[in-house]
Amino acid sequence: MILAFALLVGAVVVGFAAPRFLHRLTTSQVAPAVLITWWFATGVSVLLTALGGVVLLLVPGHGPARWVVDRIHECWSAVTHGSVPALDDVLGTVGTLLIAAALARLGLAVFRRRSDALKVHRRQLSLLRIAARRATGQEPLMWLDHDQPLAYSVAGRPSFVVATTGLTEHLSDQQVAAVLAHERAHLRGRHHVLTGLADAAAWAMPFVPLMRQAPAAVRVLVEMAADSAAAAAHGAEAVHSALLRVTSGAAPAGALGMADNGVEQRLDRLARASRPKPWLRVGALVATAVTAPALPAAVGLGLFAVTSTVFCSIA
Amino acid sequence: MQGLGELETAVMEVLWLDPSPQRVRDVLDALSTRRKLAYTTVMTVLDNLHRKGWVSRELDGRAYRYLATRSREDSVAHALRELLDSAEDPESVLLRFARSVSPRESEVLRRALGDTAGDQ
Repeated sequence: MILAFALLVGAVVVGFAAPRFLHRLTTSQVAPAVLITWWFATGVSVLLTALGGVVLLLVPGHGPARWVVDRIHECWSAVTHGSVPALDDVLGTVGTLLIAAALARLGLAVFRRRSDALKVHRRQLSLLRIAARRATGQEPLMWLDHDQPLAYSVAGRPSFVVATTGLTEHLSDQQVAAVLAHERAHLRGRHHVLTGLADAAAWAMPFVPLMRQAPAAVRVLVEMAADSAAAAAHGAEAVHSALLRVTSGAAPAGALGMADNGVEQRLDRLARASRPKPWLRVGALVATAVTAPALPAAVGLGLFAVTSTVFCSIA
Repeated sequence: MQGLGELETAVMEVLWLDPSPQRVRDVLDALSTRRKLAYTTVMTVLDNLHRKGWVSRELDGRAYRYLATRSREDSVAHALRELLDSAEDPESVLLRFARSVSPRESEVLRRALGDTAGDQ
């Protein structure tokens, strides 16, 4: 029971407090891939820890620290002037239902998102057949005759990159190469899947800040990841200047997306770009893999340890 | 606007190349697809295109004659407009390099950050 509560409290605390720290890291020099891993690992571990908590509540004869439980029960009944009938059973049942509902919603959201993506892919292809020139070469690249510099990627079978001729008119060859490398990095890194999963989690569990804030954060982070892939191939300078050129295109009214795409943060990161050290990145990923899954449980147990110490010293 | 499938595109290319009303047989002969298509396949494709509003048809004796309802230029412009709109859609599942901002906004951004490219 104590362990169960510790897990549940840990899941809630991390679910509410983690986004604050993760957002702060976005503006740091920590590799985007590491931060993306943090968002997903923390999200999954919050879900699993909460699940572990409610399962423990329902398992009969759990918890070695029986006397602490009795204490809390006494304490509770002193407050409420009555007995507490099977509090853990009630909590466990409600918790299980909540988590089952969340998981079902998550499954539904993933399914919907996937069928939306398939529809968009089919529609894009059917319009591109009319409007685009397909570039020769093995990389699927579709050119649109349009003055505004623009590039985007569409995931599916086949995945492809769409670019406008305006891109080649307004940008240097190296800048164009950087933009196309950026879009290919999206496709290679399966960034569409990542943003889709974040969207699904936010839709399924909007009451958890960690889930609710994931889509916007992951969108900025995948852009940063693609930027650094492009910068590795064509230089940070080329990506940085290309980003300024593309955003300066004649825009349809009301299409302001700087905040949505984190262009400012991306420019800032590119301006300060240092050579990434591979060993540092691997180390950070390993640390993430070890820390993130254990975080909610550790936080919950830590909180319990502190509060019980305080309680003991008072009692 | 309804998009086009692979075969539909090939058939439309034929109709755009020769704007006079054509029979299924004419379209089949002019088609340059990798494998030889059956007469009925082309007939079905033309029937679908008619249903989607891409072609109109008139009865000539016992067979229909087909012609494109709008020019290739017009179709390309329409498709292009829809593609560009989709790229600006904030809810889109596409990932784009950067969403467009107005020249004034970009000027503010450029000044604030210092355009390292310098020129233009």
